[in-house]
Amino acid sequence: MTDTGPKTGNGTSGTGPRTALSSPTVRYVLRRLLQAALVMVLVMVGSFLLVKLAPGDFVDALAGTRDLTADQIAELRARYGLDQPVFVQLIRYMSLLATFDFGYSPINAAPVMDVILARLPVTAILVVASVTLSMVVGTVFSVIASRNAGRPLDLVISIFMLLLYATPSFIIAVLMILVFSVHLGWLPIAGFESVGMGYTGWTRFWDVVEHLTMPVIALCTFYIAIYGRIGRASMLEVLKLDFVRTARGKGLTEHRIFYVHALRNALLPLVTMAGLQVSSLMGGAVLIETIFGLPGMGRTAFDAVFQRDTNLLLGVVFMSSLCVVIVNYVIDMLYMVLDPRVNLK
Amino acid sequence: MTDTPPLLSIDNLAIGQGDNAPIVERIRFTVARGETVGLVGESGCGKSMTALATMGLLPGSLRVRAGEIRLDGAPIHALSQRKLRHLRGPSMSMIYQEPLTALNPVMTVGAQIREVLTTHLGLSRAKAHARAIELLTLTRIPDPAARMGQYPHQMSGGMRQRVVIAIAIACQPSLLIADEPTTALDVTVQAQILRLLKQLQTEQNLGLLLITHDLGVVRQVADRIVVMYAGSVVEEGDTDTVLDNPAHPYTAGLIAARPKGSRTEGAGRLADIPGSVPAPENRPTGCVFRDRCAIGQAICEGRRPLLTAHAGHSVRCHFPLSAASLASEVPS
Repeated sequence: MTDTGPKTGNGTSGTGPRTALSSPTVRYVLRRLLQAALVMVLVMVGSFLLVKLAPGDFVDALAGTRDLTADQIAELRARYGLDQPVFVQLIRYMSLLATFDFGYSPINAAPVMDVILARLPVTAILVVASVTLSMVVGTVFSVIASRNAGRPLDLVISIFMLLLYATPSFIIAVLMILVFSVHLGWLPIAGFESVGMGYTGWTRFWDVVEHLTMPVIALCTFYIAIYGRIGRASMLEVLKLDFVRTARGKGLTEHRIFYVHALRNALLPLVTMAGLQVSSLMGGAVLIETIFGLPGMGRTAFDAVFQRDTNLLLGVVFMSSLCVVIVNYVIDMLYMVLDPRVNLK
Repeated sequence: MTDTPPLLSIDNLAIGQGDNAPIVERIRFTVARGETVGLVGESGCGKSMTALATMGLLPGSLRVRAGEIRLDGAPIHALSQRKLRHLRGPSMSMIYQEPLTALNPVMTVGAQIREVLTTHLGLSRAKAHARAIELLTLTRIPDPAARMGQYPHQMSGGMRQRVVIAIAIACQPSLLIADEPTTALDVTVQAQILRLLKQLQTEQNLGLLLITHDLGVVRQVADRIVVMYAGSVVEEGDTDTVLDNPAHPYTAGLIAARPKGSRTEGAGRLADIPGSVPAPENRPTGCVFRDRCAIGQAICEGRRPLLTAHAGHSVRCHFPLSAASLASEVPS
């Protein structure tokens, strides 16, 4: 008179003694780490070879700006190992990388690690602020639109989303500078913080906030539109599902049906989108970083490419890839929390 | 009839979308307190829509276009969603065909039962939790306390349907609508769920409207049977009367199309009804069944038959079958 047991049980262990390695969680984490390491190696080898495919090295770039004798050029090449065959250079680079030594950045006259550690926070703040802001604002728009689906307000939001979607972020950036910095004088035009003021604590925090407000908004607009549109579609899809009918049949309030039953299910695709957004902003905010004069990762990569600073470029690639791998991992974890059907495999 | 109105009374109900042909029309039947009524018919005949209209849960732009639905004598077909909300749960509730999709995949079973109790009965979280375990115990789910923290996907189909039933009976409604509650389940589990429904119905004196296409199920649990075809009620009466002496050719066809229990009894192929249920816009004039009917005549095309009394029940046919004619018309 009893039904068959649960089809997928939680924590049902197999036979045999339980060691750390037999725990599914530990095995899962180990497998993910191995995957991540493999991805990083492939990315670095690929990037290294791509960079070497391009003609010229940093000595050429240097020789273009100042007079160097042939001897000096040869000596510089020999010092940085640039006279070796590409394959040898690759092996050397990868074995140094294995000890987390990113090498020396000739254009900054400093170790690559120091250059990146100085610039990573700028990009990290930009990315985290943009992802958070665009997700929150996008979700709010999608909720308002789907609650009013088919009504004029939905149409107004749809048109606004389309505008945000279609306007390039650099145009929005320049317009904002014109209005808020040049005409109104409310916000600083460029930079990460006020230089030489020696601000500390909260004063410094608000100074940074003032400087980053416009860049963050410029980076957000496109993604607000994406979240708004995906969220609205997802919400309308979920509202058609059987369990929403059940919730209504239970006599729950519309408020509860909407925000407790439907919204959590509808958010899942937005979380996936957030992962993609982080990946593309990590190194892809070059334009906005350039317009606002922010010393971020995108600008660093851009400069490194033009001055043929291979080590610096590869260091930026390494850091960006690492962030993307970590963010993907976090997104997977978040998925498991949001959707209990997703399980450790 | 007695002085008190029937628990559920549906009269002359028509459901449709805009000006399109109605999906169901002239639906009329009642469900009394403590009575089980079986609503049967092929897929697409409008059984589920009738049920959803009763709950006020018609999908999309479908609306009640005519007629009335009364619960305890009070009309409910024109109530706002806001007012209907207070009836769903405490006065009427519904069990659905597919228990997996009927439950929210990202909420625990416990939370889904508790919220009915907190919403309608104003129970505290702790009291709702205790009551939810009691409800699960009533549905005979194994290890009810442990189920509370589980998600629907961690359960079998039968257990999920028990959860849906627990939700449906949580506020002790007087009317329970079960829309094909066993269709998605294994045969062995089907019998358990039916027994459970029948038992809950007796214990709590529920009016049970059981929607099914399985005449065997109806025979087992229903006191009365309402046969629907192409959006209309074609026959209605006591279960045994209708199933033993069907007067409408469609009912007779449904009975003949059932697989027999033993191979020797049926001997050979299953009988079937030629053709299929027409879409609402393609329904014939006059009697809706006439183009699939073996005994149809000219009058069936010109005039739509009324639901009239015949041999102890009601039938919508110009030429109702008698026990004698049945023997010659329908091979058995």
